[in-house]
Amino acid sequence: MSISTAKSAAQEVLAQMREIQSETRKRADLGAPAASEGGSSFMEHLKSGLAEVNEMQKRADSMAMDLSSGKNDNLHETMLATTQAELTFNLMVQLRNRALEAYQEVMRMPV
Amino acid sequence: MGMFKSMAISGSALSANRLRMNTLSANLANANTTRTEEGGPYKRRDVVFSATPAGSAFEDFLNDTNGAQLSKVKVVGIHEDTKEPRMVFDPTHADANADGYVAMPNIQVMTEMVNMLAATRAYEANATAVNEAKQMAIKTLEIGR
Repeated sequence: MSISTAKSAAQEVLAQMREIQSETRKRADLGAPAASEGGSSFMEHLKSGLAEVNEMQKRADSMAMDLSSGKNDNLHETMLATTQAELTFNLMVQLRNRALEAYQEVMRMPV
Repeated sequence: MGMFKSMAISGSALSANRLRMNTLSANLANANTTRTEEGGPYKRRDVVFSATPAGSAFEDFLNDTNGAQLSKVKVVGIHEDTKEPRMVFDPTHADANADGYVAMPNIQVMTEMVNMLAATRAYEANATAVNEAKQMAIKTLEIGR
């Protein structure tokens, strides 16, 4: 392989990298205002998800309370609510683990 | 939420079968009852199950057409058995008629016991379905761990 072909290949790669960079910049420019205008950023999604999980926990809690205090004798509904609360909580924990993992991965990145 | 739909469906079946069990218990308890508020012997009662769409049909239609085909079970009513009362010859009974016959409820204890077994098994089957759905969800959460 001659030097000139290597040089042209390197230039090609560089050109491609520039293209990708400008493309991502364009996308970022498009993405950033859309999130702030729409009002439904990732953070808000996360918050509403958390609120939902909390709501389910509360519901299961109050149903268990009603069952044990004799206000309600719907055993299986209580069990279903508890199971749903457990599963949503597990899902939340898994999401948190993934987010933390991603964060740590970024923090480990050599600058 | 897709993950909890099967649980909601099984939950409706659990409720329905509990009500069926209660009705059968009432039948057994009143197998020898000759007096009721409306007069005459106790009449056998049975539940009527009906399939109802799970969740709102409109929402299902918007999201996916397959979900619209699923249905919960609902008890639409408790019906009285119209079978004639059992006539038992017992002249000493307080409710015996002029010929010495007593109108007993149209309940066969053996049949009620078998129905009870069926209700228990149906309940068990649906409880198992709930557990399987839960296992599925847990396995989903284990993806990529």
